[in-house]
Amino acid sequence: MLIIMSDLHNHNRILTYLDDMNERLKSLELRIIELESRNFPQIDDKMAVFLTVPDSIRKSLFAVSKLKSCTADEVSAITGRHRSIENKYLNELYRAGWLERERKGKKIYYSLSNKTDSTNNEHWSAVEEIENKLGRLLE
Amino acid sequence: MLLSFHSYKGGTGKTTFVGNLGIMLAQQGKKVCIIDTDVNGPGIHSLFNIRYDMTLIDFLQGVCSAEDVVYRYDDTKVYIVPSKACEEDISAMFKTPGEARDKLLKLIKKIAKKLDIDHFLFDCSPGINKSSLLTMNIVDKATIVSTIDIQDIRGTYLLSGMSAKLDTQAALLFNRIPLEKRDDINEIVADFSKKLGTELLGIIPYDESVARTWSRKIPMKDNPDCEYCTQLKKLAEKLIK
Repeated sequence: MLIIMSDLHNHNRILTYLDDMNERLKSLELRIIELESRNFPQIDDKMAVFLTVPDSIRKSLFAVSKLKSCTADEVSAITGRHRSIENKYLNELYRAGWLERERKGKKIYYSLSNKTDSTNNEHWSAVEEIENKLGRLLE
Repeated sequence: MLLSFHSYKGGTGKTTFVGNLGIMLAQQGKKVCIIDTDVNGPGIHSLFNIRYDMTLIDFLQGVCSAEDVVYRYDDTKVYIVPSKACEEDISAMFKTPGEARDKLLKLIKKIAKKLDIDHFLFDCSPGINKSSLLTMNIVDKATIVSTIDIQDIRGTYLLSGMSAKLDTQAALLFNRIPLEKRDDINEIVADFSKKLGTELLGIIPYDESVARTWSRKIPMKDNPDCEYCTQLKKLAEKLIK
């Protein structure tokens, strides 16, 4: 698209264009997330998630646990990883039943599923804890 | 009582524990039957040096009767049901898992009736697989044997989750613990077990004398006062209440 900035009369039109493009991109992004989640292979045992990708995925799960309800953006602010990566992990966690998600306007909010909330999360943090303790003891 | 022994990784000491536990219970006058459900890597027959003809596999496949697969260990009260190495899972020999379960229960019932067995011990295959879960599903108590290796610990978490799903009472046993750090480790694993909501059976320190038998001897028979056997006796009391 050719945008001629010097044309003052066109400024409003340019802004409208940009706004429109922005909206389209956002809706495309949401569709991509939907499609990604559809194509993702079903993980049968949710505990197996932790074995296949333990460290990375755990980080995302704990970020959600901390924030209660949050977007991929907010998780990425905690983990320091790109939003697209978090989108992928959060999707995986959602598919495996660890997380629930809810769409509010254009955004998707993730929260711990009831199943995960209390016991499983606690149990996995017990694993982290024993690993850390033994790590220090056996150094 | 029906007791099963599991681990996530191999080499945690399940077979050695089961074998020595069997001997110990027999020394106390109990009749014990050890069934090798680790059909992919059976080992109990080597520990007890059993020369077998028919095994668990033959029984499951309907080739022979229950009486044909039980072998008495010397003149003790220990009876062994060995398995021959087989590339398939127990449940793969049946149309449904329910059928596999029924057949296994039939074996237990027949042996219990014929020999008046007090306790059945199942030496299961490591990892999360159908044979192991099938056994976990029928027993009164499943003991998960772990070392302090991270691979084992993460797997122990998985196995204890599985036992909860199957509604089988589980207990954790930490084996091969460095002797000089046993108190610290005991405290750490006790805390871990508490958080998992699984009973801690206890810890067994690494015993050089047991490791050096290389399954050629059974310490509970030849050296019952060793550190390993002393600790095993304590744990057995907790296990069989």
